[in-house]
This record gives sequence, C-alpha cells and structure tokens, in this order.
Amino acid sequence: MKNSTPMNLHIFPDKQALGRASGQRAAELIRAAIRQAGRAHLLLATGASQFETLAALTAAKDIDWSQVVMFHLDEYLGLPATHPASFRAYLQQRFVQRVGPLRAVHFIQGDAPDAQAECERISNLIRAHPIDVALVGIGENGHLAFNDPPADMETEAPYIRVNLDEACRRQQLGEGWFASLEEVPRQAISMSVQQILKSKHILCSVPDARKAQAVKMALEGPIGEWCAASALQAHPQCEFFLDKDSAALLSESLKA
Amino acid sequence: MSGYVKGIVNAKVVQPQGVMSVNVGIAGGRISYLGPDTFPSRTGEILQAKGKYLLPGFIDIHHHGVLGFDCSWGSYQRATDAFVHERAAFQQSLARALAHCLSRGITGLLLTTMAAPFEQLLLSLEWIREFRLQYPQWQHLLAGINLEGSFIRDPAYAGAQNPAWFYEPGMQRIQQLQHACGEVLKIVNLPPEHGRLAVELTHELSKQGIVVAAGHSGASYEQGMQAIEAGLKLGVHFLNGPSKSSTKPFGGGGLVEAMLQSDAVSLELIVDGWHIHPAYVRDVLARKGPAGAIAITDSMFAGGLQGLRSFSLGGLKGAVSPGGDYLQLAGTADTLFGSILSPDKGLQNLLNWLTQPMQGVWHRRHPALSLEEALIQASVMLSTNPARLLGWQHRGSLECGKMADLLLLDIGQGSAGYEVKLEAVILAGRQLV
Repeated sequence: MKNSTPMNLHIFPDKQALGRASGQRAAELIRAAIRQAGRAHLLLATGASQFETLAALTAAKDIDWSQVVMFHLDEYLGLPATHPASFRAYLQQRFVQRVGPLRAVHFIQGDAPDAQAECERISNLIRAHPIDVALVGIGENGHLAFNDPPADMETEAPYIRVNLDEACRRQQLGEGWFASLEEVPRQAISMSVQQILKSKHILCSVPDARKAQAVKMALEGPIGEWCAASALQAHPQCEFFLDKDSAALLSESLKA
Repeated sequence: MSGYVKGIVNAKVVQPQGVMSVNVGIAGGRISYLGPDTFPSRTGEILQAKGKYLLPGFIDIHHHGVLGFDCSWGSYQRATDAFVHERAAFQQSLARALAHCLSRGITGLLLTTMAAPFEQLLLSLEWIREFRLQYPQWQHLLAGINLEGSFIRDPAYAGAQNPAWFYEPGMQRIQQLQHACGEVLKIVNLPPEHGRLAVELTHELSKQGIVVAAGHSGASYEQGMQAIEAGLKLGVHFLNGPSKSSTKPFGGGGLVEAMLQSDAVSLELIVDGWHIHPAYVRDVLARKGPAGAIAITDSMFAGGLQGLRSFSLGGLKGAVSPGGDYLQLAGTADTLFGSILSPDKGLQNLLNWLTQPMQGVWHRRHPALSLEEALIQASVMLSTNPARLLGWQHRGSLECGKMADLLLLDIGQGSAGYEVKLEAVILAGRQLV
C-alpha cells in the first residue's frame, strides 16, 4: 500500500446491503453537516452503481432536505435533460423527486449552447460551496466521474470538458442507457479529480463483478492518470463500500 | 511526478497542412497550446526541441508482435524453435514487445492475429484483455486487435497463413473473439469471395464500428465492389498477401483493381522496401491521394531478434533473408512471411523514396518532394490516416485538445540518404523514451 492512512473498507454480501450501508452513512453525514453548519452540500454520482445507495439515502428519515444543496459529478455534452440517459433525468427521478424540496439543485446543463461557459458557470457555483459529502463510483475503466484514462490529475478547474474513451462509452451501452454505441456522446462535462478530492467526506460505492479489476486498480494500483479513481487512496476521509463480487480481486491483506 | 513534459520549446511541428515552428504546451496528457508563447520557468519539465521535428506518435494497425512475441502463438523459445502458449510467458513477452514498440515510436497499436486454432486464439485474446486490465498504463498504446488470418477462404491466397485454421466467418465467432479481447476488436479481414455472407457481415460489422478489411483474397472485381458498397474500408497489406488482380474484363477482374478505384478504401502498405517496390508505393499514393494509404509494419516476432536464421510458426517454416532484411516462407522464392520492419525505419524509407524523383510503373514520373513535404506525407500515412480509419478523433495529428502522443525526431544525412533518429517518445504527456 502506498498511502499511509489505513483504508476504510466495507465489504458486503450483496449490493442491497452495500446500498443500505452507504445510503445510511451518507444520511448520517448530511445530518451532521446540517447540525454543525445549518446546511449540507451534497455531491451525487449517477450510473447503475448508485441505485441502491440513492434508494437508501432518499428513504432516510430526519433529514432536513430544505437545508441541502445538491451538485453532481458529470453530464454528457449535448444530451437534453429529457433524454433517459441524461444524468439530470436520472437524478430527477431517483433523487430530487423522492426527497422534500431542496435548498438548491445545481444541475450541469450538458446541452448548453456554450459548453465552456457552462463549465465556468458551474465551477463558480461550487467554488462558493465546499462539498460535505460526496457519493462517487468507479468506472469499469477505473474512471472517477468522467475522468477517463489518461485523466488530468492536476487541473484545479472544478469542472472540465472531457473526452469519453471507448471503454467508458461501451460501459454506458452495456448498462442499457443507450441503444447503440453511436448514440453514446463522445464528450462530457466532468468534475475534475482535484475538485472531487476537495470534498470533506467521500463515499465510494462500487457493486458488481464487472468492476472487480477496476476496484483492484483503484485501491491497490499506483496513483496516476491511468486509473483516476486511484486518487481516492490519498483522501483522508474516503470510505469504500464494495460487495463480495467487486472486492473479489483485492488482496487478502487489504480485506483483513 | 517524473517524466511529465509540460512544454516543448522551439519544435518544428509537423501537421497534415504544414510545418510550424512553435512551442507546445501539454496539460492533462493533451496538447493544450501551440504558439509563440514561452513557458514560465515554474511550469515544470520543459523539453528543448532545438528546432527538431515533432510528429504525432505512430499508429501501427498491422503488427503481429516483435522480440519473440506473437499475439496468436505466444512466446518464441529459441532453444526448441517453438512457441510456448502459456499465460505468464505470454504476458511477459507481450510487455517486452510493447516496450520495444514504444521505443520505436508506436503510441497506438493493433495487435494482429494469424490463422491459428480458434480456441487458442480465444485464449490469446483473453490474456490480452487481462493484460490491459492489469496494466492500464498500456491500454492507450495497446489499443486493440486486428483479426487477419481466421476468415481467409482460398488457400491459393494464403501467403504465410496456414489454411489448416481458416474458418467460415460468422457473427457468433466474431462475437466470441470480441468478448474475449474485451471489446477492442477494431479490424476484421473478411475476404469478399465469401459472397453474400461477406456482404451481410460487412454491413453488420460496419454498423458496430468495426472496420472491415480484405486481403489474402481471390475475390473478383465485382465481389470487391459489392463489399465496398457494404462498407469495406481497408485493403490488407496491399499488393502483398496476395490478392487477386486481373487485367482481363472476363472473369470479373480482381479485388486489387476494385480497391484501387474506390475512394472509400484505404490501402495498407508495408513500407520496408522489400514487400513492395518503392515505385509501386508511389504509384499507389498517386492513385489514392495522400489520405488513401496507411503505412504498416506487418511486424513479426522475429523483429529485434538477433542472429535468427530460420524458424517455425503456425505450422509453417520460415527463414530470415541472407541479409537479415525480411522473412520468407522456407522453400519459396518470393513468398514473404511478414516483416521485421519498425515504423521509424518505415518513416526513414518513405523520406528517402519521396525525396527522390522516381519513375513509376503506371505513372511516368513521380517528382521529388522537399524534405518537409515528404515528412508530412509520411506522417499522414503513419499516424493521421490510421487514426481516421479507426475513428480516433483524439489521436493522429498535433492539434490542441488531442492526445500528447509525440515523437521528437532528429533527421540527419548519411551516405544512404536521410537517417531518422528518435530523440524522444512522449505518450499521453509523459516522456518514456
């Protein structure tokens, strides 16, 4: 292991148990932030890995959602919010509509006419709002948000325009969000790796066997641009929520 | 972190439209700036190009292996003159081969299969898939698979592929291979003489974004044209292989003529100077235009192995030519067996051929290009055209936003003409050679 802090690793028998635990942990951290500061800033991920976590989080009791400000990690360029694969549609359906009115919802307008201006708009918003709790996943190709390999590990810009690599686009196709590879957009707006690391708490939820190799790379591999999720090794408050399948390739010493 | 280059000062940047003397900024593994501005000293590592040429990394779409590695047969053991097909040895020799490729300037590679037992091929691709997952730093260079040998139909056009392992093409087989390699199958050789089956599969594969190629083919002109209409995009090591050519109007002409005539087809050319006479290379360029030809190595495991004289591969006997320049099928006068070319040598060959006035075979005269004109043409054949064929929008030329896969080249004059020396190889912004 390259990091000096012991890894905060939870491995569950299945993704339902994983989701319950990570959703409840997120709820706890949101409540604590509201208790301390009157407000919580929440950063959400999307994709199949977050289904169970978001279900558990939105079912949690005693969260004053009117004090919660929501950001999210990424959005496809050029896809309207009405497209079923858009992350805004996903978040509307799986988060916003299931909780009470939020203090603010900051969507990335992926179909804004000027993508660069949209990056700057959303970047300026998040500069004013340090994130208390970030929910993230890991892509089959080791990406974090949409930072596909080789990722820009250094940029301090909060949101950047990125190219999606083919493995990433195939994963989106494989998860059933698009009908053909051609339909999967080639670019996206993504939160940068450095900005994600600025979050106070990071909860990284990764179920499924198809993620096992990426999980191994992220947790045990070298920290670097070929696996952006490896950056999480260096975060002092990152907790990993895995299931048996996604943790299958991890070294025994790490699991112990 | 070491090796990251943040800027390159005073480079002659070779682009398809010309050569610019500029400074190059790199951020996040991409080219972030091309222009006159210099970099503040705190920026990080700056490379002084001293007026040398900067090119995009080579993209070799037809490469079977090198340094004892063959992607279908595994790891060559000299002592026994046999290939070991075993996982650990395979991955070790693959790693050595990739490091060698990088040192010769390859930043994008399609490992290319030969005719081999199907189950063995699946296993090889499975090991390549595992390797890419285990070593993500190689994923960018080892970008995919080119399936050359499995679907050849006519033994008369087998060349150095063993007909024992030619299979009937079919979607199910292709999907098995695609799945085994982790969905990075990029090119499939589908000789058009498979008739309706070839047309249907060409349609289907093109729809999936897989490039359909044709070579080792006895297809007629008409079959070739039907395949081209269905989406055929690439001629496999054109003028080698062999494929059918016919000057006679009856019997339908040949695939070679169909591919020469069609603007939709790019042609692979092995630029070692042994597979195709330079005059034909220039003829093809004149006929197809600068965008229609792709330089390949067709490199075999024997590349980089010193002192090898003869060998067995895929059930066939091969021999290294007396001068150590090319491989041939043992016992034949002129059936070649892949090449031992590296792409930097290929670039050097192209520079020397293109800067000489030359008499063509079909064209009366090819004029001498200036060094920079020749360099542009060679770079387009070695990088830009293959990237475009594969739909790689972020590779193959030097523009802002594209990957910083860069070669710094010293071009000198020796007794035999231009001599090319790779001074630096930068992969995704990191100097590795």
